[in-house]
Amino acid sequence: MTKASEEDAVLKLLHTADWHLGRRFARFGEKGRELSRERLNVIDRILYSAERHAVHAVLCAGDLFDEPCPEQDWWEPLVKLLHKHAWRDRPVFLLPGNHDPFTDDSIWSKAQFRRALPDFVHVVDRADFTFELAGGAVLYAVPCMSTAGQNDPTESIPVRVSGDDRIRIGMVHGSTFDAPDCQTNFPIHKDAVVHRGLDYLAIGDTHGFRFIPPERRTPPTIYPGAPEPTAFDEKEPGCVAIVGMTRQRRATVQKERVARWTWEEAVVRNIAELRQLARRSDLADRVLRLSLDMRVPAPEYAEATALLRELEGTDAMHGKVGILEVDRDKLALDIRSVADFSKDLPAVLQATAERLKQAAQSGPDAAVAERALYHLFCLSRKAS
Amino acid sequence: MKLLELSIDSFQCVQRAQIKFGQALNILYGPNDLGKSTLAAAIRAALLVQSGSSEGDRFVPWYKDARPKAELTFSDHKEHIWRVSKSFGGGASAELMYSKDGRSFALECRARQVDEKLRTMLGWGIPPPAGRGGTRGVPTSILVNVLLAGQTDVVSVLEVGLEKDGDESGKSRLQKALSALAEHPLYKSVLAAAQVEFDKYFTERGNEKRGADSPFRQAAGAVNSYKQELDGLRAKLQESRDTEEKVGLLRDEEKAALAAREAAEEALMTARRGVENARARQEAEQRLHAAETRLKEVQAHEARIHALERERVQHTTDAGVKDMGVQSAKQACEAAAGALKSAEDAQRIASSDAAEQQRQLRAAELKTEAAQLDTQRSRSEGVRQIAKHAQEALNEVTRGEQSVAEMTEQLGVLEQARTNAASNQERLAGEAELTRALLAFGRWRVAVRAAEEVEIARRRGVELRTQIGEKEASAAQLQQECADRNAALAQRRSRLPEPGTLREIEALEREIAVAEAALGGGLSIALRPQREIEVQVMVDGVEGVKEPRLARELVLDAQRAVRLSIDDLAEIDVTAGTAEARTALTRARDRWEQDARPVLAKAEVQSVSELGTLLRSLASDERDAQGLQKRLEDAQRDIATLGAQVQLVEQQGARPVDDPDQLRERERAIGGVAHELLRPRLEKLGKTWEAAAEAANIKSQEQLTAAKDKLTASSSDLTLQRSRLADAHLQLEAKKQVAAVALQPLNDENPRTAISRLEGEMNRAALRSQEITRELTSLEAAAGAQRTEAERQVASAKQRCVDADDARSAAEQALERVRAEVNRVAGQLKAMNEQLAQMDKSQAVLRTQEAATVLAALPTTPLATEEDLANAQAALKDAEATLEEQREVVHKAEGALTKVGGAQLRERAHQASEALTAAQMREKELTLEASAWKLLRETLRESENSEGEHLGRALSVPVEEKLVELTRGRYNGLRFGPALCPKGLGASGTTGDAEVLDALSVGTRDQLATLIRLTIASQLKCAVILDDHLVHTDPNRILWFRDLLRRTAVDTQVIVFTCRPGDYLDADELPGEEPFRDIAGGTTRAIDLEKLITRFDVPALGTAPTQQHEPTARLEGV
Repeated sequence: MTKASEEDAVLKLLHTADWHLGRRFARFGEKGRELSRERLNVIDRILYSAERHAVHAVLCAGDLFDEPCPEQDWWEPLVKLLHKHAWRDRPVFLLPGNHDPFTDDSIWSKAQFRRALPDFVHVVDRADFTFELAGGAVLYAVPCMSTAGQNDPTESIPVRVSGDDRIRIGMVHGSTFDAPDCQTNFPIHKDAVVHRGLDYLAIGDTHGFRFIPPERRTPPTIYPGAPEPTAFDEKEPGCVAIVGMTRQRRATVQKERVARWTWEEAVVRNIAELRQLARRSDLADRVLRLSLDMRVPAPEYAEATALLRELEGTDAMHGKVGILEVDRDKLALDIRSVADFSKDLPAVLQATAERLKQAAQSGPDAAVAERALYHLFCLSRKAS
Repeated sequence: MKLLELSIDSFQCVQRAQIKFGQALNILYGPNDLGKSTLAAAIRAALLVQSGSSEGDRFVPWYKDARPKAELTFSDHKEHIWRVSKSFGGGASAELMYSKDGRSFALECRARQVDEKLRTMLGWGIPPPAGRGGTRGVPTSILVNVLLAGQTDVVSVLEVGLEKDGDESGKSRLQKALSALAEHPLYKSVLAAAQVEFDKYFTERGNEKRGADSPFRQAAGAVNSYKQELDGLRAKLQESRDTEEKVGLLRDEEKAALAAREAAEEALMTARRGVENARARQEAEQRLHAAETRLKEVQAHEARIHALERERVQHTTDAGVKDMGVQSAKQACEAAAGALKSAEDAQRIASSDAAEQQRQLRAAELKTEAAQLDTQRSRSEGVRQIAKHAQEALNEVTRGEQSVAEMTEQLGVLEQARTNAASNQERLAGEAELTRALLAFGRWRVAVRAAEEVEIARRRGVELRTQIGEKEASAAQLQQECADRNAALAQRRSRLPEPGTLREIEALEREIAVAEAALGGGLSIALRPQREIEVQVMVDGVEGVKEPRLARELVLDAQRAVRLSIDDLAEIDVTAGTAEARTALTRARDRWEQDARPVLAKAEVQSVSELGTLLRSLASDERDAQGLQKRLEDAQRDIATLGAQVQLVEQQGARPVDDPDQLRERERAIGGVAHELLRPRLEKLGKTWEAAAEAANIKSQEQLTAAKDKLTASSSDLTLQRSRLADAHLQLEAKKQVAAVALQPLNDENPRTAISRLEGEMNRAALRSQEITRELTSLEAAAGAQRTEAERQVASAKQRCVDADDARSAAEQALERVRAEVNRVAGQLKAMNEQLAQMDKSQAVLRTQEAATVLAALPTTPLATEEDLANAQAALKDAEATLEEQREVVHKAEGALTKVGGAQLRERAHQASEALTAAQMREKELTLEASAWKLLRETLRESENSEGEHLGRALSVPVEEKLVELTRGRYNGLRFGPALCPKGLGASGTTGDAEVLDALSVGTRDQLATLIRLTIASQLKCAVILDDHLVHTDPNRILWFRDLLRRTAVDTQVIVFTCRPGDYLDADELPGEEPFRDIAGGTTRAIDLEKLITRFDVPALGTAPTQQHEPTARLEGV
């Protein structure tokens, strides 16, 4: 949204979704906790973004918690973050999604949580939820009441009646028809925004930013995606949508990045590529899945291992990469190089190297022998 | 391990014995057959023989039926104290106890576990009792032979090596103990590192560690945990899928029910439309029927009017006829009266002359009358011709009216056709407008989008330009930073050597360290000043004490070198090691000064490590600089990329698009058609909308043109028909005028009536002419009879007068009746004409036509009855009920689905699967890593065994040194195999590689075996028992061995059983009356076994032992 269009806007919104507070990233072990924690930090950035753009309301379109009953460790900091921003004329709407549906025993029914929320925060806890927004606009929001459902939630939004010229905003959570496996995940018709006579439909579920359908910009239906990515295969995650509505009910949408982490997959096929990767300066906030697909002589193998240690870090040293997942399945030692490095070794070590080389050429323990050979190389070099 | 105490009871020939061993050298002496070897056997039994084994039977006392017992107290290498008690034979038992203080013992284990524990603790290459390789009897291994060899097995160490060991523990201990002696330093370092890594993953026996901190356990735990989680999630997911599948099926059924309902709705709608159509048709038909009825009424009315007209004409004609009849009757009356008068005149004439005259007169009158009748007949004929002509004119008028009516009807049809054509043209015009507007809308929208895209591209171009500016600024900053860093690095690099130089210096430093270490071996200097002196000491290169006023003795111990600075008198350097080692060190140090020192000085550092740190720091900074350079390159690449993007975007932004006025013009071109109406139509056309819209536009324009042509043709037809009708009206008026002119002479008399009347008059005139002719004839024919005749004529005339009067009256009455009838008909006709005028035939015709048109326009299908409608409604109700039931079922199933997960569960399963994969990868990597270390360690050892035979080398050096010393250089070149068996020995003075090992004497073999045993025991720091091992050794060598034993016993417990104490002890070292004596500062204990062993008395042949030999002393209090 340009400056001019921002100024033209009679209603400005920040649309976010899929916070997934409490999500665990067990695959990354201890480091996964940092990703979990960042999901709280990003909310602070979102709220500051809302202030910076002076939006009139913040729409949070579902899956704000990863599970219906998150631990207090998750909802209490959220409440504190919301209290940090003592807004009066900027309501925040929290919509239960399929991960955190509004049920009798969910967080949304927990009196302690609800009482703790500031006044400007509204939980969408009924299917006929409406709210008068700035600029004579009206918000219609429909929560998820279960973890799965086959009904289009937008069907609970009344259609525009003749003569109603207000700006109508919708907010639901679910999968549009073009999404896979959408049938049980609150399927949303891709033209629901038109069918219901809405000027903007805020939806949540998919973790990448996208327009639904991709070619339609007016009236828009948007997934803002998760503000912090959760997987490698997500397209354009880490954003919120800043939405402006003109008096003529024309919507303009600006995608704004709020994420700290970027998830990336990389394949390196030679040591030069690995060196180049290690020289990159943007790795600190990366979750990098690195596949090594190369067969290298022992020195390069050692260098590769050293570079990987440099990237991954050790107990004593931070790694260059924020979080690194390495697939070494295709990292192989070129055993032809063994003769080169072992020729100056004592006879016993030469014999050891030769035995390991034989074992590494075939047999069930070839990979083990190859690794042992590499260790022998490293130890010999270190000791000599 | 050290033995602390041995206690036996009823063991072979010994009834009881209790020995406390010294920490170092123990010389246990006693005469032959005292039971020394029994003590040695008891030690072996306590440590190695299972209490319940058949081997234990060998220990039963020879002279008594008792259970042999042996109890041995010992300390392990960790100074832990253990006590093993075993009894053998029947009721065998075993206990192992543990003590922290050597006084109070706690039970550790019993029975079989005792031997398991002991064998693990000893690590002598003896497998556990049930283990593979376990043997019956006293288990043997190289270490058993070395440490506990019996009197008869003195040289077994020369014959049996490691290959007989039951497990690897003995070899492992030996490797550990001997490895320091001969392994290559690099090999040692590599092996040690591999061992460290191995120990992280495996137990000593090579099994994977499974303790709480085991990495395998942690990795497997993580995998299992994720597996369980994934299994649980998959089970739930399966449940979810099943439910989803069920819901899917139910949804299909619901769709079918919905389709059935829609079909029923459609059927109902069709039925309703049918009924409505039927009703509409019925109503239209009724309206048409009514209109037709009305029209028929009007037509009937007209017919009646026509009939009345005809009746009136008829009556009028009748009235004319009747009037003529009345006139005729009157004339007949007058004629009859005249005839009567004539007859009376004739009679009077006939009766007089005058009659003749009268007849003459009469005849003249008759001729006059006849002439008048001819004139009258000619005139009537003329009038009749006029009437006939008028009648024809009237007929022409009637035909003209009929023609006008027909043309009027045709005009109605044509008007209806024109109305239809106009309506069609209007509809097509609407469609054509819509298609035209659609095309215009599409083009407007394309133009708007193009304009928007261009605007976006322009904005994007501006943004990109801004980004380029920022990037360029950043790049410039980076470039400056790179330049600064590179300059700084170049300056630093100029001071520092190449990494290769550092490695050389490090190697030199290691070489010096090795050279210094080679000097090691220790030295001790005792400085005894004669007066107070100032002394400064440096030991092994480390600043030591500084004594400003030293007066007492100062003893300095060092490994390699000591430097003493005494006052300002002298500085004394004392260096250990051989001359070669010292020379090597000096050379290394010289090289250091020459090669390394200047480098360090240039680098302004004091040590190699500092230099290394600087170089590493430089390398790190260079890497950082490379990183910075990379960032700069990246930034420049980004700028180039952004530049390319800018070009692209600006090209896009420069595309010609409509300006706002043109856009407005395009929007105006859409016309008044609502965009909301056009948008879905346009979207429906898809991507090829323009071609489709243009085709539709052309088609609709063609249709519109055709419709217009049709309308024009229809209008022309209508105009023509109207013109014809007008002409017909004019002709009719002309005919009417002709008819009026023709009728005028008739004085409004109906021509038909006039013709009838005139023909009647003419007939009557003809009849009168005939009568006149006949009268004239009669006048001429009969004169006389005339009177009679005249009389008869008078009478007849009188009668005719009466008849004529009667006829006249009758005719007048008939005329009156006809006239009354004419008046009645005229009245009726007037009233009916008034009614007809009110009926408005044209309206009736129009309504009829309209009703017919409406009826024709109504669809003929579908048509349905109320019954059909009722059936359709019932079917819909059934379908709705079915649908509701199905929805309820689906709702329930969906309710179940909401509780089993759906997409959320799939996400969780996906996460768990990824976590599992990652954990499996970690486990795989861990397994690979651990296996690699294990393999490396094993391969290193195998290689060492096969290639290096390092154990043998390790052992050969110290053993050979001692052997050379013992034999005064007679033998050398001792070699051991990897199993630690001697493989070869050379002899001084022999030629070539003569092998003398097998040629050694028994005594030398005993001595060689003892040297091996002592060396190994010394390396193991483990007690060794020598049971009469040097019985074949000469006194000189015995003396040498005595010294060796004492040296060995400094750190290794040696227990010697001998019957010749003099071999090991001086006479003044014997304990005398005491059972034992500690001598040489407590490093040697002489034990007189005669005082400690209670032996069964040897019975006389054939008698049982009845008395026992008591020792001369007890151990109590020792």
